[in-house]
Amino acid sequence: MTVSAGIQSSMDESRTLQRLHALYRVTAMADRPYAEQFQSLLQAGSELLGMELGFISHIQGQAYTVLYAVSPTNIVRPGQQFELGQTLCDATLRQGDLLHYADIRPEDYLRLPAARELKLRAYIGVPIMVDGKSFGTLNFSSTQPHLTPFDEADQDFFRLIASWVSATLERQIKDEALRASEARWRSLITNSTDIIIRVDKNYHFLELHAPPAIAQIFEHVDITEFSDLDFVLDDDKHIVKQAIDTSFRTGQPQYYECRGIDLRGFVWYLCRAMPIFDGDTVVSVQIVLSDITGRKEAEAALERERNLLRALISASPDAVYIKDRQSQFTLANVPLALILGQKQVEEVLGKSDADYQPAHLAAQFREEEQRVMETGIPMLDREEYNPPWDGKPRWFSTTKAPFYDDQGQIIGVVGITRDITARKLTESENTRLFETSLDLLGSTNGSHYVRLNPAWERTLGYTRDELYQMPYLGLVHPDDLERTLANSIPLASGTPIMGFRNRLQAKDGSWRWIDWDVVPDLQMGLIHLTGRDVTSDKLLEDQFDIQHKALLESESRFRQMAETIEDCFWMYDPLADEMIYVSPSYERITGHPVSFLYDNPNAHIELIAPEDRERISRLWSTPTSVFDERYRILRPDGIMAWVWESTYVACNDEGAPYRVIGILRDITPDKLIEQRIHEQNEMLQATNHDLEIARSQAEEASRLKSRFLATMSHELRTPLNAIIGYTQLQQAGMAGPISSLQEEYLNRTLVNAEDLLRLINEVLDLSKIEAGRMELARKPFSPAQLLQEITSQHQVLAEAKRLTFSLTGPEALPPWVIGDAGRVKQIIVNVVANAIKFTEQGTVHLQTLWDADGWQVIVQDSGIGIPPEMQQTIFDEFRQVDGGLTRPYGGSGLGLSIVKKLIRLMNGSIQVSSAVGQGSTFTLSLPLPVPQESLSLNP
Amino acid sequence: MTDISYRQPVSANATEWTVLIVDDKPDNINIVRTALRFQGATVLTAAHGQEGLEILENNKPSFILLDIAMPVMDGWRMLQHLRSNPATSDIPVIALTAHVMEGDRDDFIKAGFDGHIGKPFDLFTLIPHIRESLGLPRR
Repeated sequence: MTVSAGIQSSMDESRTLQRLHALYRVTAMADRPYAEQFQSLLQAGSELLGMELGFISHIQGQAYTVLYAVSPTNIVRPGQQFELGQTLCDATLRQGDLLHYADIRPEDYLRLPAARELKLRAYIGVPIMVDGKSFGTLNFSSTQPHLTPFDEADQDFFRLIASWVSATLERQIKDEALRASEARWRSLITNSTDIIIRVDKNYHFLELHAPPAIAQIFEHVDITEFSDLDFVLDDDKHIVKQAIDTSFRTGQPQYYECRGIDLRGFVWYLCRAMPIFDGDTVVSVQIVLSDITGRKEAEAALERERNLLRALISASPDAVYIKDRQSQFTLANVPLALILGQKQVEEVLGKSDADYQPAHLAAQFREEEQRVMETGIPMLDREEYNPPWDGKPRWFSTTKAPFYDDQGQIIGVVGITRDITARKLTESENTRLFETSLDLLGSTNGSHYVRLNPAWERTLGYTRDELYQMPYLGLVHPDDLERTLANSIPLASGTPIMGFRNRLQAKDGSWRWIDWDVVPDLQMGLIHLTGRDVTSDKLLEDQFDIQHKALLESESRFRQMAETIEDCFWMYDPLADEMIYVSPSYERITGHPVSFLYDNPNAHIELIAPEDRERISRLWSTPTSVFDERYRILRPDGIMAWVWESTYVACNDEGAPYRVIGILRDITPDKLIEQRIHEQNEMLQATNHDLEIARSQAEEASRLKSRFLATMSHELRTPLNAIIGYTQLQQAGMAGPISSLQEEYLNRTLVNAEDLLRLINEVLDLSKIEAGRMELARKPFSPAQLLQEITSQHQVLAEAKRLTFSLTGPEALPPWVIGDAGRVKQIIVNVVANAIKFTEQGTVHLQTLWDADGWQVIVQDSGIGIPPEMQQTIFDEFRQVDGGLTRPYGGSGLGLSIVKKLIRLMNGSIQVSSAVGQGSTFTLSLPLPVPQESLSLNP
Repeated sequence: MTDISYRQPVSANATEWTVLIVDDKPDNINIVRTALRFQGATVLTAAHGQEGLEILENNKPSFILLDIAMPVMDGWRMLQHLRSNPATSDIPVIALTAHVMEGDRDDFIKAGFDGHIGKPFDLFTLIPHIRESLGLPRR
C-alpha cells in the first residue's frame, strides 16, 4: 500500500511538472492573437490528458457554439452549433463545477445520449465564467476510456486551465468591446455635424471639433477663448456660458437652446454641457452644439399647421374629434362637447363615449372605430339615432377615418359628426304624411311608377310591388286613355295639370274614378301624382242622373251594380204592371228563377209564409210610397227564409208613380242568431236558477256543518269536564288524602285530559277555518300587555327546562292595536310553546318591534332546529320535524297549521329560518291597525 | 264587564253564599258542589230549568250557576223566566256551559247572564272566575 502510494506520488509529480511546463508555454504566448492562444491550450490539454477531442463552447440561450476545437477527425469544428438538450456540455453547466466520466459504459448511454452519438467513453468538462456570468464550457473527451479515474491532481490541473481560459476570454472580450467603442466614437466625431468643445473653468478651450461648415468660418482665426465663439450669436453666448457654469457647479449635464450663425445663416443649436470628472472633481466641461434648425423649423411649421387645424376645427359647426386607439378623445371641438352634453372641450378630452353615452351605443362606436383602425377603411356618413340627452331625439351623420402618425401607423380615428336631426324630422314628417295619406301619392318616370303610397293599395287592391311592375297608364280605362295621354304634352313643358279626372281599373275589375293633380319634375325626370278616389261621388252623381234626367239610359250601369250585390234588386212599372228588372240574387234568396217574377209580377205574394201573407199583402195594396218590412217566405226546397224588403216609389215630372224600386235581402242568418241568443238567454236563466238552488243548498250545508261543529264541541267537552273535575277534586284533597303515587297518576290523568282538550280545540279551530266560519274580533287590545302575559305564563315552563327566557322590545309597541286578542295570543303562544318544547338547553328569546309592516314578533330558540326540506311542511297538518309516526315531543301537530291559517286570515305572514342543531327563528308579521284615538287611550 | 248594580249584592265571603246549581249532568253538579262546599258555601241543585224555577219559589240563592243544554227547560228559557219575575230578576246568573264556540260568550252576556264559565273548567280557577263574574275581588 505504502509502496504503491509512493510510486503513485512520484508519477504524479512528474506528470504535474510536465503539465505546468505545457501550460507555461501557452501562457507565454500572451502577445499572440487570442485564437492562437486558445488553440495551443486545447492542443496541450488534449495531449496531456490523453483525450483526443477538446473544445471551448459558448452558451447563448438554449444552444451553444463551438468557439475553438481540437478534433483529429474534424467531427467538431469551430462555429458549429448544438442544441443544449441532454449534452454533456449542458450537464456540466448544470453541475456548476467539474464534471468527469473516466469510463462511460454503453449502458450509461441511456442517460447520456450525447455521449452515445460520438461513442464517447471518457469526458471531463468545467463551466467557464466570464465577468461573473456563465459563458460556456471547456471540455475534453475521448472515444477510449481514460486510463485511470480523474484524480485530485487531474482535476486541479483542469481547473487551472479553465481559470486561464476564463481570464483570457475576459480580456479578449474587453479588448474587442474597447476597440468597437473606439471605432464607433471615432466615426461619430468624424461624421458629426455637431460642434464639440471642451473648456476649463475659465472658458479656455482645451479641445475643439467643428464640422467643415463651421470650420470655414474661423479657419484663419486661432480661437482659444470662449468670447471668440463667433458661431454663437452674441446675444446667446451667455446661455452657453451658463450651461458651462452650472455644469461645473452641479456636476450635472445641462441642456439649453441657443442661436448661432453658419454659412446658411441663422441656425438653432441644442447646447449640451457634459461635466468631465477626475475622481469627484469636474475638471472640464464638454459642450456639444447640435444643429436643430431643421427641427425648430419643423416645430414651427407644425405649430402653424396645428393652429390652422385648431382654427378650422373650432370654427366647424360639425363635431370634429380625434380619438386614440382606446377610443378616448384626444382632440375635440365645442360642437362635440355639446353633443356629449358638456360645455367645455376640456371636459371630454381623455374621456370616451362610454363616459357619456348608453353602454350599447358606446360599445357600437368603439367597435366601428376598432374596425376603421384595423382595416384602415373609413366609415362614411353613417346615420345614427341617438337617444336624447335632453328629451329630444337626435339623428347624427358620422364619418370616421383612420388617423396616422408620421410613420404611417394608425394611431386613432378622426371623426366628423353632423347633427341631422332637423333634416330627419322633416323627412320623417314627410314620410308620415306620405304613408298615411288617404290620397294616392306617387311618382312616375313616364313608363312605370317609381314610388307609391299605401293609399294605392287600398284604392286599387293591387300591392305596390304589382303596381311597380305594370306600365304606367296600364290601368287607365280605354275610353279615358286618349284624354290622359294628351296630358303628356303640357307636362313635358313643365306645366302642371290640376283636377284631371279618369278611371283606373282596380284588381277586382271595378273602375275607380280618380281626380288627379299632376306636377312634372323636369330636373328629376319624374312626374308627381296626387290622386283622390271620387268613385263614390261619381256614383251619387250618376244616381242623381237616374232620378232627374235619364233614368232609362242609366239602367245598364245600374244593372251592373245590381248584379254584383247580394241583395235582390228589382224594378217594377206600376202603369204597365210589368217587372222591368229583377237581379239574379232573387233566385238565391227565394229559390225561384227571375223569370218567375217576369212572368207574373205578383207571384211573389204566393211565396210569403201563411203567418205573414195577409199582413204583407195588405201593406202591398195600401197606396204608400214607403214599404220596409221583415217577413218569412217558403222556398220550394221547403226551407223557410226570413227576408227584409224595402221599396221606393219614383214619380215622374207629373207626380204620378213611374217606377217602384225594391231591395230584397235574406236575413235568415241574422234571425238564426237572434233565435240562438234567445235560447241561450233561457238556458242561462235556467242555469242561474240551478245555481241559486245550489248556493242555498251550500249555505244550508255550511250552516249544518257549523251546527255539527258546535254540537261536537259541546258533547266532547261535557265528559271531559267531568274527567278534569274529578281529577282536580282528588288532587285538591277534597276526596280525602291520597298517596304520592296516586298524586302522580292524577297528574298524568290531568295532563292527558288537557292534551285531549287542546286537540279538540285545535280540530274545531281548523274545521271552523276551513268552513270559512272563523270570525275574527276587531277590538282594541294592548300588544305589550299580551306579550307580558304570554311571557309570565311561559316563564315557569322555560325555567323548568333551565332555559333562559326573555322578552325585548314591548316598550316600542303602540299602546293599542285593533284585532282579535284571543287569536293573536293563540298564535304567539303556539310558537313560543313550540320553541320551549323543542329546546333542550340554551335560550328562547321573544323579540318584538313595530315597523311599516305592523307588529313583528320574533321567536328565536337554540333548539333542535328544522331541516331545510321540512321548513315549509311544518305548517301542514299533523307534521312534526321528526316526520315519523312517533312523536317524542307530543302534541297533535296541528298547532302551526292553525297558526299559519289564522295569520293568513289576519293578512299577516309567518317565516321560519333554521339550522339543524342550532335553533330556529320564527318571524311573525301581523299588520294590525292602530286605532285613531290611540293616544287618548290608556293601556 | 257587566253592569250588575241592579243585581242583589253578593257577600265577598263564600261561607255566606247559597248557590243554586242547575245542570242535567250529575257529575258536573257533583264536582261544582264539592268545590263550593269546600269553600263553605251552601249548595242547592236542580237537574233542569223547570226544577230550578221550582226551587226558586222557596229559596233566594246568592247566585245561580246555570247550564244551558238541558231537557225539560234549557238555560235560556229558565233565565227568561226568572228575569221576568220581579222576585227573582235581581239574582246574578252565571252560565256554566260547554257552549264555548266563538261568539257564544258575547251572546250570553247580551242575553242577560252576569258571567260565563266554559266547560271544561279548571277547578282551581273556578271560584276566582265566579267572584270575578259577580264583581267581587278574585281573592
